Amino acid sequence: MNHKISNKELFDVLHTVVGNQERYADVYISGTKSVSVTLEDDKVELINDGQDNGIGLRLTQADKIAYAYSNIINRQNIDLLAGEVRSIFKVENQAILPTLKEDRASGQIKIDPQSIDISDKIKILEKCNLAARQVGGEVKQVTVSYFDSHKKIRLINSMGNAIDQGRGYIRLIVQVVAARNGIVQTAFEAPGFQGGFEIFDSISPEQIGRAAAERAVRILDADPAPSGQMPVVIDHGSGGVIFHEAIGHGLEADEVSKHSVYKESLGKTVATEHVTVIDDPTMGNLWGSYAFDDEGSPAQRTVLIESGKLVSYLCDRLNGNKIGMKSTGNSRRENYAFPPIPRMSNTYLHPGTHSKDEIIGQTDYGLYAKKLGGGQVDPQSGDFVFSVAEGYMIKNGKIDRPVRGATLVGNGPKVLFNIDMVAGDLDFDPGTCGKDGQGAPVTTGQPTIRVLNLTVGGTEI
Amino acid sequence: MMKLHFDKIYRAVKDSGAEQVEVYLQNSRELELKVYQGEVTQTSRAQPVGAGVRVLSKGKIGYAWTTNLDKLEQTAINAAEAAKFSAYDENNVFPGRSEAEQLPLFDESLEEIAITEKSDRLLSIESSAVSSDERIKPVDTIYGEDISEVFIKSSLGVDCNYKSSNCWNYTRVVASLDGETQSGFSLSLGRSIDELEDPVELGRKASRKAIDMLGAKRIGSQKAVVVMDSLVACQFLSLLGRALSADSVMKNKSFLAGKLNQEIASKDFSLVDDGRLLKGPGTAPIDSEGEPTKRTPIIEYGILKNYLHNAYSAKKMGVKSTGNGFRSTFKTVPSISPSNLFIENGRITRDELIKTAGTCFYVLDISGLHAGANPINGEVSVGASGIWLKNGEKVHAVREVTIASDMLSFIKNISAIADDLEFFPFGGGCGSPTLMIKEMTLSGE
Repeated sequence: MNHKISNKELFDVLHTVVGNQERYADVYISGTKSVSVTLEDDKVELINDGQDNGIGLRLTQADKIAYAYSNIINRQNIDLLAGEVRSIFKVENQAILPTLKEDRASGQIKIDPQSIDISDKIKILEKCNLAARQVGGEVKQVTVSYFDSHKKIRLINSMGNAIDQGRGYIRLIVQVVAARNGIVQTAFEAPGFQGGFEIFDSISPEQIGRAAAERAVRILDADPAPSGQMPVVIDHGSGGVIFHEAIGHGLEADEVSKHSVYKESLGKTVATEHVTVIDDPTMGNLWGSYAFDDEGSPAQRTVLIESGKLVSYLCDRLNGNKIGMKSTGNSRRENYAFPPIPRMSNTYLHPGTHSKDEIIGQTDYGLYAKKLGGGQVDPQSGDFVFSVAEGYMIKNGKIDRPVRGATLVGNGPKVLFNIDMVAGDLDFDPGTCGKDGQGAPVTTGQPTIRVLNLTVGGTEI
Repeated sequence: MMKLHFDKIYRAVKDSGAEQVEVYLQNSRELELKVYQGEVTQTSRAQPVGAGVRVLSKGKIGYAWTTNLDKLEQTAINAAEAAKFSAYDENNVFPGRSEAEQLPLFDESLEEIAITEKSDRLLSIESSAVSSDERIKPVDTIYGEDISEVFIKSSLGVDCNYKSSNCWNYTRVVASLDGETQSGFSLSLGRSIDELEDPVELGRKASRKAIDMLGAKRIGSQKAVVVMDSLVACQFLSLLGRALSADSVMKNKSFLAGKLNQEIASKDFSLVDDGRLLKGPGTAPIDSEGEPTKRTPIIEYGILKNYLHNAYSAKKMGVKSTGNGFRSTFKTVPSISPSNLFIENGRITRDELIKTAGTCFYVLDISGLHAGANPINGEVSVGASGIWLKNGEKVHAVREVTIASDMLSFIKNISAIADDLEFFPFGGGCGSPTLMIKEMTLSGE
C-alpha cells in the first residue's frame, strides 16, 4: 500500500478543505490487486491480472457534496483535488479538527491468494469443469471463472478517524448450458466469500460444478411456467433477494429522505409478525461483511423490522442527518471513484419455527421457487420483480412438475403482509447490488418462507 | 508518451518469451452534477487513467492492467507471465495495421461551457417537471459529461488514437395522489450540449410518464399487442446484440447459432450495426483492438446475414473481422459487442402506429432485465409498467405485470415500426423507433 503520504499529511489537507467545522471531509485511498482466470470450451482462455489504485476526496456542507478523484496518488495531486473541492464550496480559512485516532482491521485472510501459484487456481477450475461435464451429454458448454482480490483501504476523515482496512474476496462462478431436442437452458452457481484461499478447504469445486450442470439438465424437462396470482414457497438462501428488493432499498436513508414508499413508516407495522429483517455487516466471512464502513463508522448489526414493526432505516451520516437519525454504519462505496451512499450488507430474514416440509405440505396449489436469480425495485412505488432460476408447481402439498421462465412481480408493502410461514433453515447467497452506478458486494439471506399471494409471470396463459 | 514506453514494454515482453504485445490506454475527464429541490447537491470531478496490456505468447493470451502508468513495464511482464498458463489456441491473433478514417466525435466547446450553465440547465429541467403538475416532486436530476482519449499500439503496427465527448441528462420524478406514488423518467444523450434535448421538454416528459401511471391497476393474464418506445425497445435489442457475438455462437451460447441466411423476421425488417454512425453512442473510428469499424448489415429483408466479430472469432470462422472487438474499460480484453445496433426507421408516425394497434399495452418502463432475460436461449420475462390503450386512447395505467416472450418470436412479431429512431447506450450502442409487437404474454391476475 502507499506509504509515501502519511496519515498526518492527509489530515493536514483535510484542515485546508473543511475550512469551518460545519463541513465534513474524508479522503479515501484504495488499492486493489485482483486476479481472474476463465476456463471455457474445456480450456483456460484467459488470465487477467489487475491493479486498481486511486484516491477520492469528499467535502460535504449540510447535505451538499463536492467530490474529486484521481488515480495519481502523490501530494501534488492531492493538493489539486483539494483545490477542486474547495472551489466548489468557496472554502476559506483553516479548520481546527479533533486529534487523529488510528484504527485498523485486517482482512481475515489466512492463505493469501497472491502466494498461490496460478496453476493451483487453474486446478480448481479444472475440477469444477470436469465434474460439470461428467453430468452428461446434454451439457453443451461450461464456463468457470475464478476470481480473487485484495483491497486495501485508508480512510481519514475530519472527525479524526484514520482507519486502515484490508478486505480479501474470493469467488467461483460457474455457468452451464444444457440442450436437448432444440431446448436450451442455463444454470449458475456463484459462491463467494471474504477471506483467502483457505475457503477451498470447505467448498468443493466438483460439487459446485455438478450442482450447476444438474440444474441446467433438470430444467430442460421443465414446462413453461403458468401466469397468474398464487401462493409461492420460496426456498432458503437465494430467496433472500425478495427482502433486498421488497424492503431493503426502500429503507436506505437517501431514498427515505426523498420519496421511498417507507418514508412515513417508522414505528408502524409493515409486515406480519413472522417477519424480522436484519442487516448485519459483522458476520464473519460473508460476502457483504466489513469492519468499518467507507466513511469510518464501525460496522453494526441493525434490526430493521422486528416481528412486523419497522424499527430502523439504513443510514450513513449525511442522509441519516437529513432524516434525523445517526449513522448505522451502512455508508459504502465501490471504490475511490464514488462518494459513499447508504447500502445494504448482509440482509436477511430471521429464522422462524416451521419446517420446509410443513410449509410445502400445507400448500394446496402454488409455485415452489427453489432458486431465485436477481431482481429490481422501484423504491418510490414499491413495485419489484425477481426471476426464478428453478421452480416447481406444488399440488396437494407435494412438489410436482418443474417449470421455467417465471418472473415474480409484487409490491413490497403488500408482500410483507402476505408472509404467513417461516422455516428455520436460514442460508445466505452472495451477489452484487447495483445502485447509482456503483456495485456493492452483498448477501441476501432467508429461511424457506411462504408468500400467500404473488403474481407469477410465465409464458403459459 | 506511448511511443517512449512502448519500446521498453515490447522489449520486456520479448525478454519474457512472448512475441506480440498490444497496449490500450485510456484517459478521461469527467464531471457529474446533481440538483435537488432547486439547489446543486453534488459536484464530482475526476481525471481517471489506466492501461491494459495484452500479450500473445506461442498462441496463448495473457492480460494485465493498471491505473499506475509508471508501472506499465511490470504490467506487461505480468501479462507475459500470465500467458504461459493459458491454453494454446491457433485462433488467438491481434489485428494488423490499418488506416481508419477519423470521425468528428469530440466537441471542444463542451468543457468550455461553465459548470454554472450546466447546473442551471438541470435546475430548469427540475422546475419544468415540478411546475407542469402540482402532484409532481423531483427525485434525481443528473448531468454527466465524459471526455475520453483512447490510444492503442501493438507490435503488429497498430498505432491509433481518438478522442470523444459525451454528455447526458437523466431525470426522475414521482407523482403522488391519495397515497399512491408512481415514478417517471427521461434520458437524453449527445456529444455536445446542443445535441441534448430541450430541458423544458425533458422535465415534461418525465412528469407525463409519472402522471400517466397514476391510478395504475393490475390486469388479467393474457396474450396482448405491445407497443414500446425506443428506450424500452433498445433494452430488448441489447439481448439480440449479445446473441450476435460470433464467439457466443461458436460456443453454443447463442439462440442465433445455425440461423445464418435463414429468415428470422418479416420481409420488410432491417437491422444494422454501424460503428461509423455520427449520431450513435457506440461510434468509434476503430474498435478496441485497432480494427476499423464499419457498417455491417445484420438482418436484411428478414434474413440473418452476419454475426459480429473480433479478430479471434473472425479467424476461427474464416471471415474478416467486422470491427466489433470492443472493451468497455481497459480492465478487460476486447470481447465482441455491437457498436450501434439499430432498427431502421419505418414509414408511419408514432401516433399512427398507436392508432393501428387497436387494443394494446403501451410499455413505459421495464424492470429486472438483467435477471429475467437469458441471452443464451433468448427467453425474456420482465416486469413492466405502462398504459392500457384502446384505439390510441388511455383506458387505465397498468402495474405489477410481467411481459414475456423469446427473442426469436419477438423479432418475428414486430408488426409495425414508427419513424422516430432514437439511440441509447445499452450493450454498446442501440437504436430503435417505437415498435409494435403483435403478441407477448402479459401476466397479471
